[in-house]
Formats: sequence, structure tokens, C-alpha cells
Amino acid sequence: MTAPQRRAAGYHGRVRRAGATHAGIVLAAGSGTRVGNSRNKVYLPLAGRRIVTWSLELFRRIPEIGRLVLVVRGEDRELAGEILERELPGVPVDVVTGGETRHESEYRALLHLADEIREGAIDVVLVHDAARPLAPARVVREVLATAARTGSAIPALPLEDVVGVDEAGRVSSQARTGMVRVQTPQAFRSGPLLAAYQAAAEDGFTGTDTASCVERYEGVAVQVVSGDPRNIKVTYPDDLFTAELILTTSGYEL
Amino acid sequence: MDHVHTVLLACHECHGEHLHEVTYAGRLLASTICSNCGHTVAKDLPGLRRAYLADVEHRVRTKPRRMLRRVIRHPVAFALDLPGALLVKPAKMEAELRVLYGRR
Repeated sequence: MTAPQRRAAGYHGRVRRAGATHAGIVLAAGSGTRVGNSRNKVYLPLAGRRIVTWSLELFRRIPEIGRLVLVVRGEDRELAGEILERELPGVPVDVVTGGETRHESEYRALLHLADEIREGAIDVVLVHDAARPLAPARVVREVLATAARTGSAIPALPLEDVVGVDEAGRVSSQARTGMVRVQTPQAFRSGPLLAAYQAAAEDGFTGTDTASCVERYEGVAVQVVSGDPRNIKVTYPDDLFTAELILTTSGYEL
Repeated sequence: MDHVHTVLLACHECHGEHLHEVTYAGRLLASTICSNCGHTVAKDLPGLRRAYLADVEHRVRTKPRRMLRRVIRHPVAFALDLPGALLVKPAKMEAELRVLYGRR
């Protein structure tokens, strides 16, 4: 496993804002496979800054978040460093090399924060997809507050304009009850989160998402809070145009 | 920033993830083209030109402040990079104008 490295020159040890007891992890290691000379989509420009910068900026604006960790692919470390230097000057962001899977990337980021979690210096950890640059601050605050109270929180939107289909292929009102569309950032109390990932590593278990791992190993019931329709994940080309429009019409403040 | 980027994105037309060329006019998105099926998503050129002019005005207005910030943070790097940046500026502007007039 590659040792995590800190980005900022002259940045040694832990840099934390006073009173800030939460950490934000932004995952940029798994957004799109690299083909030829193509680039990870999170490094695409969007309204003058890279997508990943908008995702980090979201956490930077929340005073309670004192630690920022960006998880990248090994081959993207240099590019990520240049972008951070240019677009988030003076903001301490730890750059950690991710793994083959989202689960492994999350685990590496948690290991990077493990000492501070064990010391009780970090209460809640937020995990966010770099490809979601438009998560509003309201969503971050809600998942933080809920996770601090209940142990974990994920933002989600109700599924609308959908119908359930039963095994025979018939429309069924019962088959669609309680389904939601999950977004990030997701927030978890740091101790159980780290413990869950360590237990998963011992078992060789790879979760599909953060919540499933915490639920499985720590028995923490995941609380759903209201997501936001603007919090889109850049997947299709149209999403880029939509994201640019949302940013410009909101005055770059969400 | 380069004005053409190649990234994997999902395509509504041919489905699955394929390489897409994403083209910018300055800081603004101009178009995307799927390398697999050619499906293109693009802003209309007159609208893009209007938005570009407004954006250039903003860039020019904020340039002194941005340059000053760089000078303060990295004076040596700024001094070393400046001649190169000035030399490539005409080519960058030409590339932006080509996008704005549909000639990429």
C-alpha cells in the first residue's frame, strides 16, 4: 500500500481549523477507467475550475470540517497536486493514493486519519464522490448533524415517476415502496466507521458503498436525510452542461 | 487549461461508457462528441459567443487581481512562467475563436 503524502509545501503534521472536529474525504480514484490518453472526468474544467475542486470547495466552506482528504489514482497525483496548488491555494488537502475499488480507497483514506480518529480528534467523517460537484451546503450540514446524533446519515431523493414491477412483469404498487435514490456526501461517526472497515479488511469483504459496510459490521442503522436534485453526479455529457448552468445561475454559490 | 479534453462518459445514444471529446471556449463548455457513435451535444454558437464575450470581460476585469495573487504566492515561478504564457496566448485565443465559429 502506498504511503499517503501531504500536498502543501511546508505542511507538516495536522492542520486543523479551531473547533473543527469533522473530516471530509473526497473520492477521485474511481471515477471512470483510464483509456489511452483520456483523463479522469473529475479533472474536467467546469465553470473555470476543475470538477474535483468544486467538490473539495464544498467541504472547505463548512467551518466544522477541519481535515480534507482527496483520494486519487497513483498516476493522477501530480495533476491533482497542480490543480490544488492553483485552484485551492493555501487550503491544506491531504492527497492519498486510492485502491482498486471504492471500498479500498475509502479504507486507505480512513487509515490515513486513523490516529486522529483513535485520539478522538475527529468525530464525524464525510465521504463524497468527486464527480458530484454541486452538493449544496445545506445537505452537508444535515448529514453532519444527523450523523453526529444517530451515527450515520446519507442524503437521498424519493423515486418519482417510477412504478414497481413484480416477478411476473406486472405493475405492482407494492414493489416500489420505500425506494430512494442515494447521493453523497454520506456521514458517519468516525470510530464505528474505522472499526467497520478494519473488520471488513480482516474478512476480505468489499462493500459496494460506505453505508453497507457500516451496517454490516457495526450494526448502525443508516438514517436518510433529504437530498437535493441539483446534487447530480457527472455521468453523461448533458450533466456537464447542466452542472455549468446550475453553477452560473447560482452565482457559483450553492 | 487545454481547450479539448478526452474523458470517459456514458453515452445516451449508444449506451455504455465511451471516450468523449469535450471542447471548451475559454472557461465555457462548447460541445461533447462521443467517439463511438458521434453523438454530439453542443451549445448553439450565437449563444455561446454571447456568453464567451461576457466571460472574457470578467476574465479581463479580474486578471490583475489573479496575477497579483500569483506574484505574492510564487514570485519566482510567476516570473519564469510569464514569458511562456505570453507567447502561447495568441494561439490560445485563436483556438477559442475557432471553437466560437464552429471550426474547432
